[in-house]
Amino acid sequence: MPTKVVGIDDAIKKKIFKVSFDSSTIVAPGNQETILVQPPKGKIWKVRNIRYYVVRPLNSLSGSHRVSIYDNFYNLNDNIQISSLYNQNIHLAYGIPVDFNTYNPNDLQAFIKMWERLTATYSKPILIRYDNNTDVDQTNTRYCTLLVEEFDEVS
Amino acid sequence: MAQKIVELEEFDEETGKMVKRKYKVLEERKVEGGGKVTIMQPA
Repeated sequence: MPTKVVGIDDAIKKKIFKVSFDSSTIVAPGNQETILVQPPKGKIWKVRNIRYYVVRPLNSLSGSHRVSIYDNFYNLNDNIQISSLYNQNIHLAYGIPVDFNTYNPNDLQAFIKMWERLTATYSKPILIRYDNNTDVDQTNTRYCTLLVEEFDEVS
Repeated sequence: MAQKIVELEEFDEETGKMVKRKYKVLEERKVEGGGKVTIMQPA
């Protein structure tokens, strides 16, 4: 007669879903936009996949723009970053940079490892910062989708 | 209605230290799973 082995995974309730959002606020040259992504109290969100997309600032002739994604309040060593020149879009597709000038960490495997451990709680949300260092306003919408796995926080 | 201001502690790339910065909240929005996104710009 088959025996069911009860492991620790049987005790963990989890679900997975997409968290999608966008922002169309105007980001002036030299300015930035910060977005906090915060699960409800008592939940932990672990990022399983990530997409970010923004078209380059229209009519820009110089500079660059970039997106930085942090957790753990907000050490430079704990972030991923994608920078594009004024005439390039920023596109992170399924966790892989596809439109960019540089990305950090600059090794793709290290980059993927870094975002794979992004985690948010109510008190420590994920922070996504867009910096516009071009010469014109960024008026194009920033789009982001996170595929997250949700766990209950142990109190 | 008064602009909501929040303060975040974050890493300053120029000084290499954690600093507190103020942000004005532009929008708060509910997302899937009962979570929330908060869109902000420096105050």
